Amino acid sequence: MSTGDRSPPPRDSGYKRRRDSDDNGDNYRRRGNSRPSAPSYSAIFPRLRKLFGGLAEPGRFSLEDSIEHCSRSLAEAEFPEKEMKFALYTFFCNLAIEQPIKVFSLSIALITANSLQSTIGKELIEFVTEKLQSLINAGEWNQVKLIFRFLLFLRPISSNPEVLLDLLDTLIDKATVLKESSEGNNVAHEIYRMVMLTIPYIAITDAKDPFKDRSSALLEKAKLFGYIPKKAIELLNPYVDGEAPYKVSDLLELLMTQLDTLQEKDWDLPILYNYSPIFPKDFEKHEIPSISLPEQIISTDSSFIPEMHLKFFVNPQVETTPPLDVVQSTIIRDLLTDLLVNLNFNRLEAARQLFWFDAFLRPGVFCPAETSLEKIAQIRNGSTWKPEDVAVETVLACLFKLPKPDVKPVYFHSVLIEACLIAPHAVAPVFGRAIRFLYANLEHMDVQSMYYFADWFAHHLSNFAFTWKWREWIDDLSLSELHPKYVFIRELIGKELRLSFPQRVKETLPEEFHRFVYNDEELPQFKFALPDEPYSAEVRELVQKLRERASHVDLEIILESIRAKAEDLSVEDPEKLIREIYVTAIVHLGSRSLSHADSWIERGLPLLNKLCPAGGDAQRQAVAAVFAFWHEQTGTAVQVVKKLMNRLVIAPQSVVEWILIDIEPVALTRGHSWELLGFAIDKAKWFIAEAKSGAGSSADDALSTAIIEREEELKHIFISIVRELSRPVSLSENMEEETLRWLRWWREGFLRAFLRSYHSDYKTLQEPLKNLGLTDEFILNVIEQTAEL
Amino acid sequence: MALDSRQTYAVHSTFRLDAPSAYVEKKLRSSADREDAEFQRKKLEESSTLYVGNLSFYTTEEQIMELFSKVGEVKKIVMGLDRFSKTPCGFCFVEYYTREDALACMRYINKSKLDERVIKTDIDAGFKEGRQYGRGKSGGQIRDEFRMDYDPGRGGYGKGTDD
Repeated sequence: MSTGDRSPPPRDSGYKRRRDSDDNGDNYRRRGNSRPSAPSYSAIFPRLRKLFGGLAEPGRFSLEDSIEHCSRSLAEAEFPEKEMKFALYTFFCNLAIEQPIKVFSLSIALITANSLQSTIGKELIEFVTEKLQSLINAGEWNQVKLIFRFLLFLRPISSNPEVLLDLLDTLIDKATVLKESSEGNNVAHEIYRMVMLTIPYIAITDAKDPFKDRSSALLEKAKLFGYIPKKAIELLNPYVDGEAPYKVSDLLELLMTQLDTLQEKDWDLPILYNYSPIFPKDFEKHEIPSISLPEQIISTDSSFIPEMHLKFFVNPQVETTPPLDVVQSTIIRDLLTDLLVNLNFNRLEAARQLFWFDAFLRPGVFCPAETSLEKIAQIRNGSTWKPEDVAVETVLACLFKLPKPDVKPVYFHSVLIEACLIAPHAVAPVFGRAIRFLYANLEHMDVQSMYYFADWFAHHLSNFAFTWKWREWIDDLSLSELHPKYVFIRELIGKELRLSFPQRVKETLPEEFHRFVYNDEELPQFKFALPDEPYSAEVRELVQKLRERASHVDLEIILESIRAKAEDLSVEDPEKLIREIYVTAIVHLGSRSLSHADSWIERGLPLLNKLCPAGGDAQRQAVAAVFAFWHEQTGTAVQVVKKLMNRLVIAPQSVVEWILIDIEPVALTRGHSWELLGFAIDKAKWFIAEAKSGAGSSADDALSTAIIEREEELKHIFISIVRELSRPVSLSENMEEETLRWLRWWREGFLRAFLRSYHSDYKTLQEPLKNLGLTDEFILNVIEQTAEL
Repeated sequence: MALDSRQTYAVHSTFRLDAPSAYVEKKLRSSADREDAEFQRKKLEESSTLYVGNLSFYTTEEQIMELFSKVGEVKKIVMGLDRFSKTPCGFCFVEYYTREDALACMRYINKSKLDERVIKTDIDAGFKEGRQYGRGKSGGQIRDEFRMDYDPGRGGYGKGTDD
């Protein structure tokens, strides 16, 4: 369909949405073969979708006009078929889920449409209720929360709004009962969360609402649920050693105190737009069909992981974000988090909405966008909450969520990049403050959070010409090389280099930082082939033969001659030497690019496998050889080791042991240790999944043995991690007290992070772990806490 | 038909960034061979490979790996090469292990910067031998022959301007 048959833009839809370009906007219609034939058919739906999609967005028209126009267009629309109308209702529900910030204006527009055309209201109430019921049945509790909210805001057109509160009553009662059983505990918490985050909205709509009394009753009921934060929340705190720069609290525990305060203020919560001037006077009401709970209440999430309320702007002079003691902080965070997470399929739209969300709320709740900090400090009457701070804080809270973010971290990077492109002047200074705050607290930061930080910041800088005020950090270059700040700077520059190249990165750094930039003018040397080396001639021949694709027999003859020579020279371990030479030769030949590396590994595979048998030290020595060759560009070393793992030359277990046993303890501060350890565990898990999918329905013994072997390997990995990282670090000669302190810090950080990330994978290992005879209180504590997750 | 319209209309509250681009759609629609177009479309719907364009000629595989690994493990990168000189000519194919990761890449990486250039990704029906070479007369990509601007990352002026 060409854009030509599209109806002209509606008369006064106003604000042209920049990115709603034709080639994207029409994609839905082009999919499949259902090319609509009647012109009206193709015109009505996109028109209404566009109108409602842009509902109440800041633009040429006032909020009132926008709402009025939408509702009139809907009421006057003639749908060629009923299905299309229902598709539009689905769209409204999606809007409520994916762009929850718009649900308030949307509801008013629909209430107004109902006053013009009452069948719309009737159908809608039924449709949304049906949707709610299906979400309850499916156990999608976060979506239940959002659709329930939609229905709650449509309640003026219902003749029996009390059924909604009855439902909440039933839900909280049910949750209180379910909580006591082990299988119901998880879903009980999901329901409790849904009810708690709904309570503020019950009272929010209208000052004279009789619902207010019921909010108090509901809050009392919620207290009977007896929510107690799990002990594991300590593990979810991005700050360690009890040294957080602010009190990191459990969201639901916090919400309870906030609601208590709100109740004391008689539920007065003026954050929504005042719609009363445009609220229709006269309209028909419809009955909400009954909603029932299924016999078996389920949840799509396998375990309930508590959420923490994270902050990134802590300014003692002036509060630029809602303080933790007011319920607004939770409501707004929750609204924006849902927007961000549920709209992850369109980061442009997510960024755009995030940075004008305040326009959808009551004017005056926030200070005007782009107000500078100095101006905010002068505000005497009025809000000091800065919309950009609130938005950025939400994205960062999502990114730094432990044990892992709801969406891949790179999504949050990309939203922040888009935000910076949309409003550089408004956002850049806000970022600067967030980064300085994070940096200032690095020495109390969880290791995983530190890597989230470095990953994000390097990616961000790579999109903005690597511009940063590095000079601010110059003094920290004199810190211990184990100090988290020093490590952060080094790893950050390391990540920049991996995304770019040395010359470019150097240009952006003051000279003091050049020590972290490797020299790429020449390729790494193949040290065994250097003229002065004892095996130089043989090694050169080996390389030559490899290039000529000589047979393994020929290659092995050369390796034998090296062995003979080594024995003559009384080398301690000739096997090890041969292994190193051969692995390094392959890596050297493949040093031009990763594709070369991969194809050389493939060519050298038979001998690689022969020289690197499983068990023992052989594979660990192979990893060491790769890192010895690429010691300056460890990013490439990591990629080559990954390829060796994928080609089954090196088992994940060997990589783990190399990191934890072979390399010196300070290597734990290197980003590649962190990266490879995670990759090795993921690979081991992937091998299990692969073996299982191969097994399918057939009960092949060989396959089930393979699965058991793979599972054993994963167990081994976890046991190695705990055993090795719990080994006490003792003060050796020439070691400073501070070094010892940081060594402990990194070990504990790794342990905490890995046990948290993979808590569900080693659940069955509680016993074997206890049998290790651990005495370190820190570790025992962590193990106990992860069991709760 | 009725059910179809419901599905095609009411997908989301706004468009998705992980749908194939207008370029791919147009190519499929204008294809004379309907059967092949259907086949290609089917492959697109299952593919976990991306075409990546607007790279600098100097961007290395390692850099591409670094950025694209952010959405998931990359199975393979095939660099686009000049047909004659066998040097990179500004595009590549990236294959993921899963389709979900390829779609995530469309959502989170497409139109962001690599090596300080805005790169473009598109779902691709899958790499075939021969496709790693530029299809232009000069050996590079066709787009570099019609370009009038000076692009230092892509060999200076367009190749076509010499004539």
